[in-house]
This record gives sequence, C-alpha cells and structure tokens, in this order.
Amino acid sequence: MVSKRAAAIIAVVIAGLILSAATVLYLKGKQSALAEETGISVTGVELNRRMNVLVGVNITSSLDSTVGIKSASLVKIQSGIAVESTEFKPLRQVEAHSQAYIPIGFSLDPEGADYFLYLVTDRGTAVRHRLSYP
Amino acid sequence: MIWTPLTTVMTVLGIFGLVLVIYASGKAYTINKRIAKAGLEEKYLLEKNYYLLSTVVWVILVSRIIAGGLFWVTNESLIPLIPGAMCQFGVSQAGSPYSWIDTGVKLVVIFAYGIWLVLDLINRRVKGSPLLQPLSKIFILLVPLLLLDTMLDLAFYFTVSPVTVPCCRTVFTEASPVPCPYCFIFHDAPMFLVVIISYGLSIALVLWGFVVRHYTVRVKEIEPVGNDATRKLVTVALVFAVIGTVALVPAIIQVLGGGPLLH
Repeated sequence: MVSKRAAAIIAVVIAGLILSAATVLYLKGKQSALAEETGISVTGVELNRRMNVLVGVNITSSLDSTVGIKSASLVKIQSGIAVESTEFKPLRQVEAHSQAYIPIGFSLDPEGADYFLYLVTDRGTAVRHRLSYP
Repeated sequence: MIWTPLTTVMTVLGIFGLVLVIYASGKAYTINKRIAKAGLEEKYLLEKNYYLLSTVVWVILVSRIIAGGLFWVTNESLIPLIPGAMCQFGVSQAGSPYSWIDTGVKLVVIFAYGIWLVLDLINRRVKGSPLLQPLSKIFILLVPLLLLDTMLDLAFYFTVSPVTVPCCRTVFTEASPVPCPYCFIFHDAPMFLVVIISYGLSIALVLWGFVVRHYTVRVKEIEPVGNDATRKLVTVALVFAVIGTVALVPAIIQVLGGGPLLH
C-alpha cells in the first residue's frame, strides 16, 4: 500500500516536471513560429529610466498598404516569459511608407535584462525588436 | 564581505553550526564506540548522554534547515548591492566558486538531515531507545556534510563583495535551450517556487518513509511506531504532491499568459 502510494507520488512529480518542461518548449516554439514582419522596423525606443518603463516605440513601415498593430508583448530573453503584454483597441494604424509612434507603457526590470518586443500585426505577422536594459 | 542583516544572520548560523557540530560529533563518536560493549549501568549513562546529544543535533539540523531557506532569501537581497547582478546568478558569480558548490549542497541537505530527525522522533516514542546506535552512526556520517554546509556558507558570505559581475545575460541568450533558472523561478514565474518546494518536500518525505521502513524491518522494537510513521510520511508526501500539482496549473497559466500569439 505504502509502496503503491510512493510510486504514485513519484509518478505525479515526474508528470509535473514533464508538463513544466513541455510548457517551456511550447512557449519557445510558439515565439519562434511567429512569422516575422520584415516590412516594419522599430526605429526608436522611448524609455523612462527613472521609472524603468518602456514608454513607446517609433516604427517605420516600408509596406505598400496600411497595417494595424493588434498587440504588443515584452518577452524577457533570460526567462523566456512574456512579462508584459497589451492589446490595442482600436488597432494602431500604420500608413504605407510612413512612421508611427506606438505607446507601450511596459515596466522593465530595474536590475537589467534583455527583451524581445513583439508587435503583432493584423496580417498575422510580428515585428520583433531586441532591447537591452538599462 | 557585504554586511547586511541577512548575511550577518547567515554568518552567525554558520559559526554557531560549526561549533555545535564539532561538539556533538565527539559525543556521537563516544556513544557509537561504547554502546555495543556497554553494561547496563554504562548503557544508562550513554542513553542520558544521548538525550543531550539528540537535543544538540536537533538544534544543529533545524538551524541548518532554516539556513537552507535563508540562503535563497539572502542571495536575492544581495542582487541590488552587486553591480551587474540582475538575479542570483550574478550573486553566485561574485562568490564563486563557493557559491556554486553551496547551492548544490543546499539542494540536497534537507533530504539528509530529515532522515536523522524522523528516526530520532521514532526513537523517542519507543521504550529503550533501540535506534540509539544507528542514530549516532548516521550523525557521524552527516558530520562531513554539516561541516561542508556550514563552511561553504562562511566561505561564500566572506568572499562575496560588490564587484562588477557578468550576470546570466552572458550565458542565457535567445539561443539558449533553457531559461535562466533564477530569473525564471524567483522573478518571472514565482508560482513555480510553490511547485518546486511542494514537490521537493514530497520527494523528501517519501525518501524518509523508505528509510524508516528499512529500520522498521531491521529493528523489531520500533515496528508499530515505524509502520505508523511510514504511513503518515507517505500520506503527507501525497498531500504535498497534490499541492504541487494544483500549484502547477496557475504556474503554467502565469507562464503562458500574455504570450505574443494570445492576442
């Protein structure tokens, strides 16, 4: 009885460990599976270093059509986790061959970290920008 | 050394542990050596000595278990005091190599110390102290681990200084297959801390249960108390395994929540 219970506990713990590892791998796979938007690039970043906040970003579009920015996520590279995310309602429109400012307002780790900022478009693609702070 | 209230507590616990281990190991050696050949009168005296030793060992082991938990809290508190450190990886870099060995030791000590504490609890509940000799022997076997544990704490906290260190950014990049465990657990997914502690305690309790069963088979006098203890240990282990699994759900949701594709 005791041995069976102990075996059940070990099985539960192993299942938990596998589930956790699978989550991390799934998350990494999901991030790398995002089709990168090459027609839009982040050309400037506005930071508030006193408050440790990513205030907003300037983006430049070289696309021939208007594109909507649906959401933004901040993935901390060291932990592989999206530490901040926001959805834009209504979408932030970026005209063809123009520049636009996207307000973000994400908190950054005051001790410092590397991040990927993802701006997901309504075309199903994502603009990826690497950011090191401070 | 960086003097803060927590590093001071760790240093005091280290010195305190070291002194008590040296005192107790001598007593344990004497009991272990004499008990097999002792007559009734000497056995009674050794038993009396053992009760004093048992109390001292309880103080040592409990203080080391507290130090084991405080180790992580102290390292976390040192992050802002070490230039370049953004997580405990940086703190460990500042106290290298003692910090790395100490981290490894801290992950296993509770498993070892718990064995002695559980067996002593059983011994106290049985007439005639039938586990007196095995407990003295186990304590002597634990002495190198205790010395390593306390001395590494002292060496680490005396070595760590506010020098500029490269942190996990240099090791854990976008190309790394695994995330930085310190950033992941202590900063960005703290629910996993509950999962790890619950699973760790669950495994520890199962391990202690097996050790108790081993002695229950070998020492007939402790059979009823030992069987009862094994059942209780495994039941509590099951409770912790369930807590860990329940905590895994919000932990995974926390990790998955806010991913770039969720919107």
